[in-house]
Amino acid sequence: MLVTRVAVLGDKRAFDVLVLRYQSPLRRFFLNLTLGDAVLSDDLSQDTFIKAYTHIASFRGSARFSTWLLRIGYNVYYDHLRKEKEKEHVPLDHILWKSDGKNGANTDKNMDIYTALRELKEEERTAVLLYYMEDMKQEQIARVMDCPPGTVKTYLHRAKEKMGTFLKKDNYGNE
Amino acid sequence: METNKNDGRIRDFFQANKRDIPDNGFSGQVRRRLPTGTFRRRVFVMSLILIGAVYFAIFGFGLPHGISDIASRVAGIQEPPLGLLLNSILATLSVLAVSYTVLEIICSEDRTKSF
Repeated sequence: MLVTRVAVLGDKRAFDVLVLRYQSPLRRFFLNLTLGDAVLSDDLSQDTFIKAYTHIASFRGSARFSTWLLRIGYNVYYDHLRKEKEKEHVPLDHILWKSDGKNGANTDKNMDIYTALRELKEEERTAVLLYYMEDMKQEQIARVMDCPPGTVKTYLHRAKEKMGTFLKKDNYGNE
Repeated sequence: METNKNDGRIRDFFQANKRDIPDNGFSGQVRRRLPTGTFRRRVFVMSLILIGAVYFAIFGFGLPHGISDIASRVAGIQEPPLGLLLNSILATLSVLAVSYTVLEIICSEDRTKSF
C-alpha cells in the first residue's frame, strides 16, 4: 500500500515511513560491508533510498520490498567500488577504515566482526551478511546479487570455511 | 556434525553482532534530498487520464453507438457540448498521458528490473 502511494502519487510521507522502517537493516548492511565506515555507509544508504524513490515504479511486487531495496544498495555499493578503484593509488583498505566511531562503528567491541569480514572477498562478505545477519534465504540473496542460487551457495561455502577457521582461532563459541 | 556446528557458531557470531541503528536524523536527510515535482507531475498525469476516461465514457470515441447513447442518457446530456474538436484534443491528451506513464515505468527499470 505504501509502495503504491509512492509509485502512483510520489507520496513523500509514505516514502518517509518506508525509510524509517528499512533504514536500520540497510545501514547495518553497509556498515558491515564497508568494515565499519559509518560516514560512507550512511552516504551509500542515502543514495540507495534516493534511487529507490526515483525508480519505485519499476518495483513489481514479485519479491519483498526489502529484497528490492538491497538489490539497489548492492549496485550502489559496487558503483562506488568501481569509482574508487579508478582513482589511482588509493588502497581500498585505507578508504574502508575511515570512521568517526559514531553509530557503534569501529569501536573495540565491533572490531572482531570487521576483522572477520575482512578475511572475505566482497561477494562472500555480501552473501554471508545477508544470510547470517539479515536471515535471508539463498534465493533472495541471489536476487540481490543478480546471480544464480548455486553461485550464492558457493560464496557461502567459501565464506563459511574462512569464518570457521577465524572463529576457531579466536576460540569463539567454545566457552 | 562438524559442518552444522560450524554453521551454528557462525550464525551465533553474526547474531551477537547484529545491532539496530537508531535513525538520528537519517530519514530527515533522505527526505531533504528527494527530488521535487514528482507528486505534482503525477497528479497532473492521473487527472488527464481521468478526465479523458470520464469524457469518453459519456460521449464515446470509437465506442459502439449504443454504449455512448446509454451513457449520454444517464448523464442527461444530449450531445457533446464542446464539439468534436475538443473531443479530439482530449483524446490526444489522454493517449499522451497514458503513453507517458507507461514509458516512465519502462524506462525506469534499468538494474532494478525483474522485481
